[in-house]
Amino acid sequence: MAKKHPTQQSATVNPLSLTRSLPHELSEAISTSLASYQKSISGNRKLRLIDYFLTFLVFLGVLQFAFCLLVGTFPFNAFLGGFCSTVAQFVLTISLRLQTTGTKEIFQNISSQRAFAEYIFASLLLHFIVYHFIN
Amino acid sequence: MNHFKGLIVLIWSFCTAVMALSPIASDTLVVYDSSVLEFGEFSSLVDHLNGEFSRVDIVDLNDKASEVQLFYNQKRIYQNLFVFPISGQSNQGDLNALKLIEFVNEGGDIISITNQVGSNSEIVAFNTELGIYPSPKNYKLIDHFNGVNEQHDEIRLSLEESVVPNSIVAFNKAIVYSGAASLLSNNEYLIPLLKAPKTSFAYDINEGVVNEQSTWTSGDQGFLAVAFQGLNNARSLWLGSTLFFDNEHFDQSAKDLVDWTFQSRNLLKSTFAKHYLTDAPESTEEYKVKDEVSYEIGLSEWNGKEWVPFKANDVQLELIMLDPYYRITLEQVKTEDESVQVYTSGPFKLPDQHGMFTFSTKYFRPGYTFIEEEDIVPVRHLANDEYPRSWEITNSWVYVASAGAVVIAWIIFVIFFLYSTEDATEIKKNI
Repeated sequence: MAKKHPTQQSATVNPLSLTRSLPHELSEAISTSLASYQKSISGNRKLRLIDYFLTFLVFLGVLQFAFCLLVGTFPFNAFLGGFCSTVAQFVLTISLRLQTTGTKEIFQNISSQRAFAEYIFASLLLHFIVYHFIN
Repeated sequence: MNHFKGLIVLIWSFCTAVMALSPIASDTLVVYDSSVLEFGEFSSLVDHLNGEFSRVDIVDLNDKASEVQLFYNQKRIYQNLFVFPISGQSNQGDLNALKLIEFVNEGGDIISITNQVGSNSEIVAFNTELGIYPSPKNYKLIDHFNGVNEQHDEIRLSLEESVVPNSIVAFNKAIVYSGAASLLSNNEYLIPLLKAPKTSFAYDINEGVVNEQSTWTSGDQGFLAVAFQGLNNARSLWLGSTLFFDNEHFDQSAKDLVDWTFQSRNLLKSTFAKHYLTDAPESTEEYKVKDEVSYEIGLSEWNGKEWVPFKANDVQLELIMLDPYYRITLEQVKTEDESVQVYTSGPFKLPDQHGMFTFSTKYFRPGYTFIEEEDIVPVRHLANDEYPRSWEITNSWVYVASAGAVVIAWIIFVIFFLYSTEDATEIKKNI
């Protein structure tokens, strides 16, 4: 009986409160995840640094794509070089982020030093290719 | 003796200078049949031929001793052949359809006349090859509306109705026609000159009755004078009556007919055709895609005595690789040369497409010498060091700059990443 009562109550309230609270719940979810994100990076300078860099890359990629849409694809290799360098650098940096934070089980046996060395090597290779492709 | 020789050379060169009025060596053979017509009636024509063309041989087929020879050692020995109506029984020699076709294929010009009294089957067979189907022997053109005599076989032709507009001859005197008519095939190289009146028909006058069997043409499907020019520029003319050439009617239009067929009228030639890089006309380098080139061609027309500029506004250049990429109407250029008209395309850009391109000028106008100038040239693509570099294209500055920005930001990021500690709070705790 004690259990039945609240369910009955919620059944009467829910149809109204559910529709009303959907945006509310969404904003709540966002603020919760933001808060948890803030919490996760607040004590970690390296993570913050990585995220600033990622934001910068996204901004630069969007800028180039918008320019290409507006002006045209004429030096298409230059566009591909510039755009792909941001995308690829973004992917590499995300990999670094996953490997150095060390929360994932599959990366447990990869030391952060090794991950960083691989990141440096892959990035140098990427910039070498971009340098040749863009001309 | 030497003086005598010199005199002969002088006289000979004078003769050739006077005689060689047509630019093509033009030995002429005239064939007639004295059993069919009285050749004395054509003395004006013979005079004209003697004046215009270098050597005129006249052969009477009725004369058993005479022999028609068109080839010697399989080489054509006459340029021009004039065949009056001849009967089927004539002593013909080389005058058969096969030899006549060979004669035309070798570039010889033929005027042939067949009518109701002289319609030799070999001459008819030759004309049939060209797509002209002359009416057989005894068939005559009759018109009960325009006939001027009792039999209605002498027909007054109305110039507006009968003359087909053409560039060969202008008939400006009234014609009273008496003779044969022909049907035509759809051969596109035929140039009809005279049409039969709408109310006329050609039928067998011996039959006496007009029916399907005895009628050859009816109405304006019949033609009375038809010219032909082959792709090798050899010319032929078929006429259904001798009246154009007899002394009574021999006038400018008859002269035009003879002169056109025997290559001294409406005769064109291209003196040169060239194309070049507009910026470097002397350059012998291969063309690249998108190069700017120009094209020029010079055209001359024979006016009866000398080559003069040929002026037209419909000469076109085509730049072809399978399909025409360009079709440009050429414009006249003023030059000091008084024997040739130069046409130019003006500068134009080669298409962005490499391959074997043909610069082609085909000036095919009915009644004029066909002019065909073609030159096939390769157009190469750009070599890998001929494209503009990225820094020469302003658009790419954005992309180059952002790629550089990524590199710089990455270096800064790496430096900061190396010198920052993982946890700021820990450091505080340690201190």
